[in-house]
Amino acid sequence: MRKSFPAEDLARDGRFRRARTEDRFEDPRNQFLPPGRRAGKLTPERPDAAHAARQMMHGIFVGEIQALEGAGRTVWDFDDDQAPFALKLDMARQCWDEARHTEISVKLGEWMGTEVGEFAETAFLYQAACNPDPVLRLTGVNRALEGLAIDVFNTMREFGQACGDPVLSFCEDWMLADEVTHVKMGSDWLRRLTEHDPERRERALEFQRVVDKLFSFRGFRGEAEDSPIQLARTFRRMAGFGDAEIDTIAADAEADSEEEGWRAPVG
Amino acid sequence: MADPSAPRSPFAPWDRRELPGLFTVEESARRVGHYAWIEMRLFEALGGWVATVPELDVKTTLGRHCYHHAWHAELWHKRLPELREMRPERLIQAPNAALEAFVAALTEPEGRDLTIEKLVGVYRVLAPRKIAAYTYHLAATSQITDAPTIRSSASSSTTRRPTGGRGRCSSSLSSRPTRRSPGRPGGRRSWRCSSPGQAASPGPVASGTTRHRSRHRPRRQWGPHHEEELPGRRSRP
Repeated sequence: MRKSFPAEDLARDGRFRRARTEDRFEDPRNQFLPPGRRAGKLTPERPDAAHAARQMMHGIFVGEIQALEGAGRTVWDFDDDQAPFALKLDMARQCWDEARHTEISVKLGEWMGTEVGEFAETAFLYQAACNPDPVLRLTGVNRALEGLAIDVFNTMREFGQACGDPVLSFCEDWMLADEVTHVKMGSDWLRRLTEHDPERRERALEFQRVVDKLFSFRGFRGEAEDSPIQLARTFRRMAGFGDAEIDTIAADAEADSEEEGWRAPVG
Repeated sequence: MADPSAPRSPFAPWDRRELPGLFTVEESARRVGHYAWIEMRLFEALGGWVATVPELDVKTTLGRHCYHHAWHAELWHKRLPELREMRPERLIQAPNAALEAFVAALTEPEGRDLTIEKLVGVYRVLAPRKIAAYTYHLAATSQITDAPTIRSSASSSTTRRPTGGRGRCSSSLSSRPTRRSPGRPGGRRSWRCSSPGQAASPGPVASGTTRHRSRHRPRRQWGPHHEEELPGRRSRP
């Protein structure tokens, strides 16, 4: 088995449809909104709420698969001298958590009326897990990707509460707890592995910022009232993010939403 | 009626643990180092395979088992300093070249159509031998002096059972057509050990230097799990 596994080779069964990220961005069915406007917060009052929630749930599902695969590859790709044993143990634990999340997401998807493969999958989440430097990979996955997961789960949890859907809010709350743990792992390992190498830490944080900008989807994730995914400050603080870091993510998302071009789809 | 003021035995009447064991502290540590090595190789392989298998249930099962075996590796890691090995990495190594070669062969399959090869290597070849090695250690070591190793060994042997690796193997075997690889004689991977001795426990996972002396082997004629032999529990005619 190779060390380092490219995103295009991720194995899926026949139900899945892979879309290239750029194709999805250019899909005319996705909403094109003027700069500064977003699709709107996910609330039960939105006429398309059910569809948007199902689409987001499916996105969570494929995201969990890719997070599982990313953590698994971190366990395999690095030799003992590149990644400490304790780091690999944490990644193995994350594998188990993401496997559970995948199972939860399948069941929640059925509960919400969608099914595996109803929406296309892009592999850009997994691409954050392809960096050959374990510190950068850890930062991309455990801080940027899992940080996004915190925001998404918190948004879905609140949506479940607003809808009066106890199953959705219950499951999202449990998954949120795991994701806070994963981000905390990332924060701790970033500190430990770069304790005597500030330059490497700076590179890792820069990589995280790039990934975070990508994951903000031009304001789709942010602090504006009409951002479909809200930045979950409280949970991010629990996970080891500093206020300055969260401010930067919010500011980057806001600035990005002002740019011309692709607006994120509703769901 | 028993005299409540009489001195009591330090052992409960049903406690049949015996003091002698086959392994010295050093021998037990050496074996534990081998266990840690194979558990590490296993959890790394399972993690790496997650991205390579298309079957969703297998994917999530590999993710779950990746952590199970990482936890076993951690148990063994923690045990080594307790066995006077202050540099655990010194003992965490393959017991022999044959097992190293086996692990290399085990982790070779990568293709998305090689799920069976991956599962069979782990659940039909390695896992039974690992369980055999752990069982041997459980049976042979001192049940009192080496109890912490026994506890870890028992955990490592039993946590696999309810999680369904062999079940996945069987269901995949029955639901997928046989694939014949053009590059391999006979088509399918042959999981044979290179010598009969390797197939017998505890050879492949933890070959030992201990000589088997039957007089030292702990004898457990009966115990709580053998209910038919417990006094007063004989079945009625």
